[in-house]
Amino acid sequence: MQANELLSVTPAELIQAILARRQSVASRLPDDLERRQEENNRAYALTKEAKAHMDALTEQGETTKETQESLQKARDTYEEHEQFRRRSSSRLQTIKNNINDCQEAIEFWSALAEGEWGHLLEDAERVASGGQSSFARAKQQTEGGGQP
Amino acid sequence: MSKKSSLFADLEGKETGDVEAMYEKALNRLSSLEENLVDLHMKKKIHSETIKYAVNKSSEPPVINERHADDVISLALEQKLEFDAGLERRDKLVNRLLVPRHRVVHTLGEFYENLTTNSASNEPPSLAAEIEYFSRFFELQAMLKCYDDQQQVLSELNALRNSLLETIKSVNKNDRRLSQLIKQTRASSREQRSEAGRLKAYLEKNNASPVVPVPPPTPEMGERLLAGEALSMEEFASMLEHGGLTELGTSTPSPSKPKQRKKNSMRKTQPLRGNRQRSKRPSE
Repeated sequence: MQANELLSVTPAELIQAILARRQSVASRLPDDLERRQEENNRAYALTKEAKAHMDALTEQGETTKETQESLQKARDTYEEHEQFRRRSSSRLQTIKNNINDCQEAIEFWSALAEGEWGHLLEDAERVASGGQSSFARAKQQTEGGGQP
Repeated sequence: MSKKSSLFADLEGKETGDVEAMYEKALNRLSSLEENLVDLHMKKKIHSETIKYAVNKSSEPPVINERHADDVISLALEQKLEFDAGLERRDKLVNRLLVPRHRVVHTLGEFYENLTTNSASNEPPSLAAEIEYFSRFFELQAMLKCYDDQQQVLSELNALRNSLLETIKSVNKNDRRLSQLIKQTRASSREQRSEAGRLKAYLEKNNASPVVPVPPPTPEMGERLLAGEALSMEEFASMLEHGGLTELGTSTPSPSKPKQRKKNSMRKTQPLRGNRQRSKRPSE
């Protein structure tokens, strides 16, 4: 976007743009959640199965070389599946968090769309009325030893 | 001898009165040239100081009296003041906003993209980040409006800078012209001095005193000389005519004279020794 176009953007328009994006993302999230849940269920089942196999070999208590090799292989498989389960669980949690965040954001911006954005424009109003920008104030505070 | 006769060849057939008139005329011309030279030096100094002041090599503007007032110099000083005022206005704005215009535009676009771009690969920012971006976006927008409003100030500043540079070019050109004039005037002055000397020598040779007898130096002149102040050409001539520095010192003793002598004695590099002590002889 060019500087002139950016100058003509109003708070109401920007809120509408943010809401449109949030709603678009929110519409995609249920599908993502479903995919992640399936993935997580599959990972959980694979891990459970690998663990049962590994436990069974351990309970046999045989010390032959072949048994030891099978046990080692079962352990490797379990660890691999466990890692996959953890990853998929994390992804699932992220999707759940995104859904919550999206919902919260949509509620927040919808409320602001009524014209309640004044408190977010305090810095802009100060600059427009001839005051210092927040960048200049931050620098001044840093140079003044953190004094407000 | 032949050299001497050739030196006065053009004066040989003339009356003494005519030569005296020529001598007086030469002295007047010399005096006028010397005055002109002093004026030119003053003007050149003002030009040099103006250039230094305009390019910020000196913080003080030159002091100009009415006699040496010049339109180009006045214009340069006036433009420098206007330019300084413009610079101050621009610096004030920059200190108030801190972020330069091009960065404001860039960051404004970046924030807008972060807030509104909808793509599967681009995760939306958190609500807290969105609020921060929203607030900053409109602050940057206000800053950009300030810069655009000040565009007139910036273009005026550029125009002032250009016109000041042009005027300084003219001042510099005049300065060079003054240097040439000083060189020429100095050469003319040298010629006139030589001519006056030649005429005076001719008149002395023919036992005729110059038309304008040189008055003896005044006591006031002696005091000024001892105080280290400058003498005019006439005063200098009268001093030389009546015995030079030695005569001046004896005729006009001043309170500061012993001090001067003391200073001179201190400059001697010889060691100061007392009288050699001698043992008394039995016969004494």
